[in-house]
Amino acid sequence: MRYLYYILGIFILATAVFAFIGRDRASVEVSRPALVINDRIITEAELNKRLADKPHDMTEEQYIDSLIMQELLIQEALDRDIHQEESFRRSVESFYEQSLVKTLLDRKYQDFSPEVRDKEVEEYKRLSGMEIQFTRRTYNTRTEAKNNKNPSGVQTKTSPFVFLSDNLRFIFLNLAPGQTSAPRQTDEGYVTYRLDQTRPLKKTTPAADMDTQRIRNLIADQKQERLYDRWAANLRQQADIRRPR
Amino acid sequence: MNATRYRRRNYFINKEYQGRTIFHYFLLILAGSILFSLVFSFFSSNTISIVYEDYHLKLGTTPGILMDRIFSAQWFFIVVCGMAVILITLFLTHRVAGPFYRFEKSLDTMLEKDISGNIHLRKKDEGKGVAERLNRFNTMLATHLSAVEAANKEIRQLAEEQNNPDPEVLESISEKSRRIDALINEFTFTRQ
Repeated sequence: MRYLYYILGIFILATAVFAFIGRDRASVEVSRPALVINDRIITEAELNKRLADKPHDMTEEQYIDSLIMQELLIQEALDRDIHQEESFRRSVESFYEQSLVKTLLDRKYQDFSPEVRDKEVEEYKRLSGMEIQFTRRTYNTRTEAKNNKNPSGVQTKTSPFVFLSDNLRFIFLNLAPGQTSAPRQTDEGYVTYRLDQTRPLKKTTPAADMDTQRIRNLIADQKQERLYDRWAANLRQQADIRRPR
Repeated sequence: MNATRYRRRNYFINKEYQGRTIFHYFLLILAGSILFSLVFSFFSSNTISIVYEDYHLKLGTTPGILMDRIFSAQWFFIVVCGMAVILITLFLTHRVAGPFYRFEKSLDTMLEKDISGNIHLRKKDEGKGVAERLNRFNTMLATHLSAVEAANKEIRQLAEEQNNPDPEVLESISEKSRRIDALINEFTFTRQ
């Protein structure tokens, strides 16, 4: 008979463990129902939590009305088994993946906190009163671009510094006349920029009157973008990427 | 011949043997259930599950999200399957424990020199071969004892029918014959 007592003991132990683990689930938040929409009960506690997120331009009644409508739509969608459809699964999958990537990129951008030196700000201010003459060269391969051989396209342009794109302004900010930038991959191939010369503008433009903080932010954004590009390139380099044919 | 059906009313015959077997099978079920949960958790540890329950979305690693369900299922499995294992094992082991009990009783009777009994087992009981051989042995022994008894009687008659028998020899034969009868009569058996 002792063996049957052992089994009884195990039954009791299993029930105790089950009850212990399930205690959190069993201890539901006791709150009066505030809103009943068919079989959905929204408790006072839950409603208060939701009301805390209420948009400022809505009254409490308007928000509760929209909440009721939303719950009705959810119930209707569930009744129609939309949540079991493949298209719904795909849209959840897409949202899930995009959220993952967005969270990662947000964190990465926060990690990159580039330092903007006063010298850079001063140089930017100096160039804001200048006209830039530069040569844009396009290459088919990175090696050709590095060695400055066989460019597929060469363009020479002149423009006031302040009318250039943020990207180009940052590139020329770091170049001395006669210097060429590192090749960057674009849709056209690998592109390099050579700063040919700078000339003072005859007449300064209003765009040149940027305050120091805006200049700092612009330089910081560009630096952040470069750091991100470097990190992404490193990620790609370390990955095992194959395209079997 | 009348086909007598032997219906056993007590299924828990050999408490030690049956209890131990039931306990071992129960442990097997318990270990299997725990092993399944562990293997499932291990294989699903690097997967994410999304559960929409009671109008709330839960997202997390599969073992984490399903832990409640796994424990509920495991508890249910242990209790329900445990009960089933107890009943099934009890039912199956009584087919072994019953015949063993019967053999023990029959052998005790045989040790008391009673070979008149017959071992009857149920249709699905184990050990029917052993029971049949024991029954055959008892029948054979009863036949031989009957033959020895008859031969002893004949020897006594032949001795008494002798002309001018030596009284001492006759007395000695009678004495030996009585001892043989006494030894045979110690056994309880059906005369053939």
